Amino acid sequence: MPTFTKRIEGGQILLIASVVDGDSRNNYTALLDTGAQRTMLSPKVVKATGLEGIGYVDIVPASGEPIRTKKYRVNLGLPIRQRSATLLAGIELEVAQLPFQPVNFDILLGMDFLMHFHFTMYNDLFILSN
Amino acid sequence: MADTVQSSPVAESQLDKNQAAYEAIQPEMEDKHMGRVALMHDGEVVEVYNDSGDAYKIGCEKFGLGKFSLVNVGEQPISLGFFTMFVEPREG
Repeated sequence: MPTFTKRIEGGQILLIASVVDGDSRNNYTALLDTGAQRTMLSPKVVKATGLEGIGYVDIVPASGEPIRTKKYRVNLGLPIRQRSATLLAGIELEVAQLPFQPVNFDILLGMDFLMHFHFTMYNDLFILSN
Repeated sequence: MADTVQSSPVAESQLDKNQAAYEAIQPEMEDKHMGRVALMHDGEVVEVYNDSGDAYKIGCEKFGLGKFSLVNVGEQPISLGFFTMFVEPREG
């Protein structure tokens, strides 16, 4: 079973995630967030990968009316380095566009992504396997 | 707020047309198809599927990407947890 281990730094789990389109693969910094229901892409990722929208989703703001943003279907994976090759642990899923551009990451990995993996947080380590 | 990302005009109008059409029949759809996925094209529900992957695949095959919409029937607004506080509410 491919396993991925990452040190938790500054109270955040920042990983490299790949948006895969056929043979092309674009890597971005992803923040793993168990509090987010859905996986979200920054406007930068949507623009760079040329994704076409497949509809809309509403996001709950801190107060007021929900905000509407576009949704997309993508292949999203985590590159896992093994001895001589890099495996991609990934899935195809529906994601939405973040209505703002985060400073230190481009993909927010939510529970819809995490639920497909086995993960453990122990001491200062994040361990993921599929 | 970040720059918005522009889709092609055809895709944009298709999404908006389908969304408006869905909202007009939303109560009926939620009565009959709660939890399923509606494939929409040109303002009409083409078919309703149990799986969004199936709906996406058939939408791509039948109409091509950017020329259809998928609506998750009965979907509630999503929460981004901590990042919710960075989402500015819709005006009006």
